[in-house]
Amino acid sequence: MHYDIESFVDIAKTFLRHDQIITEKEGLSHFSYDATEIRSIPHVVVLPESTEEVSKIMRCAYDLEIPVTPQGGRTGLSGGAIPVVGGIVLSLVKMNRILEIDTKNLQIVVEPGVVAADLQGTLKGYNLFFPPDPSSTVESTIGGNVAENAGYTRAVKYGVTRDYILGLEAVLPDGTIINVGGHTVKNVTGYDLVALITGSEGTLAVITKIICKVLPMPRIRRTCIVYMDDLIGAGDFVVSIFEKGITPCAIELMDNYCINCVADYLPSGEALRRDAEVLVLVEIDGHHEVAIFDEAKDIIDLANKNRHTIESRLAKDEMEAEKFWRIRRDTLPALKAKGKDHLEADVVVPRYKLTFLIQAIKEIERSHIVKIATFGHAGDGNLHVTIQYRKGNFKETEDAYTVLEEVYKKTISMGGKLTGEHGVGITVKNYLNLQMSKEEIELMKRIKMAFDPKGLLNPKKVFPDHL
Amino acid sequence: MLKESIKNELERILGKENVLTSPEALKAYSYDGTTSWIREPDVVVFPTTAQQVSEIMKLANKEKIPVTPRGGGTNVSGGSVPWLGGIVLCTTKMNKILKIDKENLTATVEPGVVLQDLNIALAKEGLFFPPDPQSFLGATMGGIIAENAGGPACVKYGVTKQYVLGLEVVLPTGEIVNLGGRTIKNVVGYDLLHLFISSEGTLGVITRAELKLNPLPPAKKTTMAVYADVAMAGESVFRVLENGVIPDKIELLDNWVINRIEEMMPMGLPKDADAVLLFECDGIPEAVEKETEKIVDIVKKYGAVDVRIAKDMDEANKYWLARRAGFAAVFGKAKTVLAEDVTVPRGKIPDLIRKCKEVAKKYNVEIVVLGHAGDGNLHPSVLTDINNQDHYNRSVKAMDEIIEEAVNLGGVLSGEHGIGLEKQRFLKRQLDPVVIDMMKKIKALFDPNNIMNPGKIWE
Repeated sequence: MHYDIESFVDIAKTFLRHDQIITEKEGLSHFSYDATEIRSIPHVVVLPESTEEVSKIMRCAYDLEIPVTPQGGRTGLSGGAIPVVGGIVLSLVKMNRILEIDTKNLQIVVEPGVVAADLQGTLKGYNLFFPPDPSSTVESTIGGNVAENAGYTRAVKYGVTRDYILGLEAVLPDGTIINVGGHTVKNVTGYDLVALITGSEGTLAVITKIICKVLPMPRIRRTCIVYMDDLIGAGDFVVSIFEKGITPCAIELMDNYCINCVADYLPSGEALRRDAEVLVLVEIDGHHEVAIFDEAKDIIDLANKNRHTIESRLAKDEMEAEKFWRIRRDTLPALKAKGKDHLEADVVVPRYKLTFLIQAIKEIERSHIVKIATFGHAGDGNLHVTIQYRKGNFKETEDAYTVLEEVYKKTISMGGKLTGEHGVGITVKNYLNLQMSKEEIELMKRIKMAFDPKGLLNPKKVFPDHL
Repeated sequence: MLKESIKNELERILGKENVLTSPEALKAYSYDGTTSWIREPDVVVFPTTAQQVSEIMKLANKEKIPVTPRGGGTNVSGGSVPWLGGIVLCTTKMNKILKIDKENLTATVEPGVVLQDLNIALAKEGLFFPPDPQSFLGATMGGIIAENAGGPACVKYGVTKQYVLGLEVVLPTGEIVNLGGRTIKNVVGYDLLHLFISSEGTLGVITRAELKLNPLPPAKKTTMAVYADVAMAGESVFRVLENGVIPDKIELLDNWVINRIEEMMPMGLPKDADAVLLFECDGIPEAVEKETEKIVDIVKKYGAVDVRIAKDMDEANKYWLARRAGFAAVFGKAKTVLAEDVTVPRGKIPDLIRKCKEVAKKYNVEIVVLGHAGDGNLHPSVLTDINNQDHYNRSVKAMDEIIEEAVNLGGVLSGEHGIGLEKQRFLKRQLDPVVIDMMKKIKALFDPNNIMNPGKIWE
């Protein structure tokens, strides 16, 4: 495809500084990838510093009919920020100011390029926190988190990103600036365009300002680790916690293979129970010491009452809690250390179905040659499935993709969804037909057309290549 | 007028007993919880399945007959009034709780299930549906979702949209589609689910909903704080939250409401107080105790002249009954009530209350303030009489100024009641023309013939 990049750059130079426009090859390559292994080099990268600049860029691209891919910290896991058809990358990393921290109303206003970890750091000084923090990466930006409606470990108690977005300023593909939502938790004036733009993966509008709800920082947390010898038993344990009226802020789970990979990987790996079928990590948080300590005790009691528990421990201090978390956080690096290529799925099922899904995946694995690792958020049913194979090996590659499709089909048959927190982007789009009816995809397409009649904003994402 | 052939066709789809055209029936379905918007439909129908709803919509779409979906009819913005006549599609016979899933903390319901009935069934399982519109005795789940209803408990728990995981809906063109699902996390494609929630029945008919539930908190405690100045009560609200305490409810009653309640059912409310705040904390007993202690400290520091902690459930229930009676008191005292639903950021509550007082004086009308102070959703109400032209005109002007001020304070026209018919003329004050245009485009995509609850939201 040929785009008139030269004209675009000429016009862009009239309102952007030199260092806000990148056209040389080495510079461009930095913006060609995200956390997936997919790559595609854009023709030009622009780094606006204000909404007005974004608007002018969009208008110019619209007139010249050049595709635009919005981009933040490039930590996405579904290829959403990759400029697959080239054109313009609109990087928002320079729009990184925290504009307002309103302690009276427990809300903040930020630009999209603010790095999530920086935001948490700043909020800490006010005794506040922004719950939807996909903390796995220190680089993820708020704009990207909103565009993907990112999830995270705390979703079980605190909900997803969407639940915290009160209002947005965004730029439409033709350069029009719009404001949707507002500064209040309750707001029913017209259609919920905030929700529509949130999670639209940068295909409807470019987010330029975000009004979010924040919460007082919980003062206390307690972390428990439980090793068990049976998957379904672990699922029952999770349910028993909720039945007790306790809503933990995280319930994480890893299968036997993940436990062993981490045991191999971590210097302190010998402390892990390699014989356990499953590891469950439970964390509770709150503002009142006595209450949280009682809940922690209840959780350990519930674990010990479960006949499948091999070992249960309550972290005695923050340092030990951090050690427990390290096991979970190092799972992906530990799997990568096995030196194989990875296909990843981000499926989600109703909470109690999670361990049944893992069991079904183990069943699938038995009749295939590739290795499958499962770990994820047991509190909300979101499971990360890692299929390990070697790209060079045709048979393994073919097998890996067959397994992926089987996992998707199994998930759907259990009332689940193809992606819980990573988004459709490029990696899931061609499986969308497994999940959605033609009518629903058609409705989405019409909405895309209403926002972006020329189809220039983040093209070739979300929608399947063939209906 | 409804063509005989259409009536016959509806009777074929639904059975004679589910198609009403008598004058009494048409009158009964001509209004909602507002009293100022009345329009009779040509026919009222009661489907019992999504399939029937689909057939009705296909017929209406072909014949271009307006369809107004309706649940309990308790809404307060005119949303379920059949403004252009045609068909009222009443979902009250689709009132089954299909499933309560204790393991996943979800429930599957039909749209006609009354919230109170749902919560009674859920309580047996130790669960509840947190959003609590105060019309819960009659409000149905379909309407609650279509309006994205709120209530007092939203301070802590958030609004309806946070508790809907999936919907089965019938589009204006008759297709049955499933949006969302049964999982807390779901990022497959655009969020059509949330587009539907709060669309006030203008995009389609909800025929089934998958709800997220919470476990019932084991303990609750109510505290009443008394103020000599209503604006100081407003300040206490954000001071409490700022200090890390998030009660599930913070409600405000002003002097006028307190005195009307005392007239109706004397319960020892402080009649000379300018305002009271009612706080409720819920959760595990130890936390509830601690939070209550903290509230007492904070409100004393910020101007409460008296603080009472309800000693038991009976006393607590008495206070909450008073709160609910507040609205009845307002409506009982005037021929016409302009009850607004403006919502401002919490920190601006004192400013809004001051404005209400100022405007009341300026136009010489009575303005009552009561509502969900915890989330900035006050319901300032002007007491008037639509037959007294001069008084009514002054009241309308007063209300206009309050709405203007709310928007200037960074607030919104409507926090939980919806736009419907009542607030259409204000929509442009809050939303950009471009944004309204975008909403209209979306409406046209779903409903090319504009038959689905036409005449609502925008003029």
